[in-house]
Amino acid sequence: MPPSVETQPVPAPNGPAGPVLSVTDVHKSYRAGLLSSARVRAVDGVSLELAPGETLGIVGESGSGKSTLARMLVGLERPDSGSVLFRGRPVAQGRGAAGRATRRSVQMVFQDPLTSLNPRMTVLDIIAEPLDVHGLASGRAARRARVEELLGLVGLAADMAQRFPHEFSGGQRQRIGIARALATEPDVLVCDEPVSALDMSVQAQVVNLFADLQRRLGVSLVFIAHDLAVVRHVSHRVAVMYLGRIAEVGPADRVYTEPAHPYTQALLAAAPVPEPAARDRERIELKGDPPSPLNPPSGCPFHTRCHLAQDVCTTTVPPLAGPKPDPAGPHRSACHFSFDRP
Amino acid sequence: MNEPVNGPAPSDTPALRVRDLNVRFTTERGEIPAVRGVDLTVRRGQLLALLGESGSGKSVTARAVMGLLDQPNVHVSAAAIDVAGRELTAMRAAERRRLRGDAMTLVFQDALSALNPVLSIGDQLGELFRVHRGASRRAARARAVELLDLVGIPAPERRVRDYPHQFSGGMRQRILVAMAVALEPELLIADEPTTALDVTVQAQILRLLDRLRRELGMAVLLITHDLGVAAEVADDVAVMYAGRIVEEAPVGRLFAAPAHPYTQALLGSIPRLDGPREALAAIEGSPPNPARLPPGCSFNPRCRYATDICRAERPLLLPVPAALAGPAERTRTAACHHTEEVLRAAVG
Repeated sequence: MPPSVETQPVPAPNGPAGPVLSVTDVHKSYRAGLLSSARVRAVDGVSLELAPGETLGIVGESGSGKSTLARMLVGLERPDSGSVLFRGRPVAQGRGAAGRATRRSVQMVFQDPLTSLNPRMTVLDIIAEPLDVHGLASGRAARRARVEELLGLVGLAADMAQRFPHEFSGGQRQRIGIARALATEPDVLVCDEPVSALDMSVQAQVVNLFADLQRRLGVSLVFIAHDLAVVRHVSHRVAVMYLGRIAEVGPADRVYTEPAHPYTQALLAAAPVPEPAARDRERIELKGDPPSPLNPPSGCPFHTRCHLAQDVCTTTVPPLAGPKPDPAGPHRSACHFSFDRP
Repeated sequence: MNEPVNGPAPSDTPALRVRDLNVRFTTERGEIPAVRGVDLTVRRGQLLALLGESGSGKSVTARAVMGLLDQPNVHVSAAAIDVAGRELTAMRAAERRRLRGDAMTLVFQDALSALNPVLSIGDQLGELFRVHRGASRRAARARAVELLDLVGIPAPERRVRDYPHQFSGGMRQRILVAMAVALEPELLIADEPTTALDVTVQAQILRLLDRLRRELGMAVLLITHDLGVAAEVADDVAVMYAGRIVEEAPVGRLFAAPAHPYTQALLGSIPRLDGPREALAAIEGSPPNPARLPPGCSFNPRCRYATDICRAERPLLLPVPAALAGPAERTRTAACHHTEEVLRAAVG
């Protein structure tokens, strides 16, 4: 890929087409252990929409529920309640042609390309597997041609198709994983920590690839990561998760320059800055670790670590709300004290 | 018998001095040179970050210094490894073992697997004082409580009886730091101490390490792959690539004007929290396989400054000409045939 390619996210078309993905009040909990009756509330009431051609970044720490949400978006997990709809159809259910068509349209890129690629299969067969499952290539020649086209799309040479995953570097393996996810021409790619397992000198290549693919294919991206700078770089909008809920969501530039939720503010302040002169910046330091999702605090889940917390925060869950929509898109925060609320 | 091994060293003796460290792994496929001719000096109270990607040799360097590579298929050689003036290369294994945990300590990335799950925190911390200092059980327990307090564990008198699984990830990492500083070592090596932690907890642990090395006057060698972490706490940074140090400089100079193309390329490729969201200046290719290093400079296939000499001749790690080094109180070094050109690019 030429390094001169612009990766500034292209403005997401927010036309009359409506969202490609609509997530409405999804919940998902797991039993805490084999003999335990306690439940881990991994995702606890999340609603989201994804526009065509848009990149939605999701950031959060471990236990925030971001990976569980990702698995529900592609239908790998079924929500306990609430719905995940792709253009009006549920992604997790649906037998027959309609169900398959939905799943074909929403694909996933995993974090670790080494464990998500079958070591005994050639790159050709790995990338062609979704074509076979969905009957998208008729005949060996067409199958091979399509795989070579996909390899070219992600910046790999066509003659690599006969090789096995272990013959590739980490960055190349992630490109193979992306090529496989693109095989069915999906409308939505859900990427769970797609660059965090890569060496730092290789991360930028893959980040640029995502931006390039979006511009060329118009695919919508859900980009989940714990690295705030990477998420900012690729996203039109950003959602910040904390203990299974969305703490704040809004246009990327707004969330990063005017964070409305005290958790977002603390997260941004805590991120190490590759600039020694910034060491003495003022920052809000959080005490302690994130609470266990097994036993989340009452009221606002963040109140145990929040420097703004008042009595109301321990009793009342703040709604995810914001000022009237502005031209840049709605900016909402789940805090009793955001946007100068009383 | 139980005399402290780390007597006071003269203050001008560096806490760590490594000269020409080489580590080779012998595998079925042949010899793999993991560390090639590394020199390091860490002064008392100094925090030096050893920065590199996976496979660069940074962790192997740390383990070689600690003497944790005594295995049949690993060959370690060095002209010198001095910890607070004591020469380790000539030492017997038993002597070196006594230095570990006392004059030099190591904090690992994964706190859960570094702690013993069936011993209370108090027993594990107290053991250090009982074994190395011959303290009584009661005195050791009292010191353990003090240490938990020092690293910011709330209610230390109560928590000292708890077991590792009863602590959160961040608290466990604090306990590891407590164990590492217990005997007031000359040198603390921290190997990716915050990589497994969440961002908000990482900031706490970095702050803690920085405070302790000031309060206790320890030398800290921080192994990291994260430019942000190095920028937050390091005094100086040594950058490793393919088993060698390619550049060393005071942290401010390194980030403002890198002297090696690899450092410069890394700084250009990372996304930022501010500034324009334009295309990242990605580095082409991947880090080299240590078993199949290119001739000349190991970075040459990925380097935009590379010329014929880079493919033929390995550049030595040399002082950067004073006129170009910038206002640095200490000398900087770089291993590049084109350092002057790289430095001018930063200025221009």
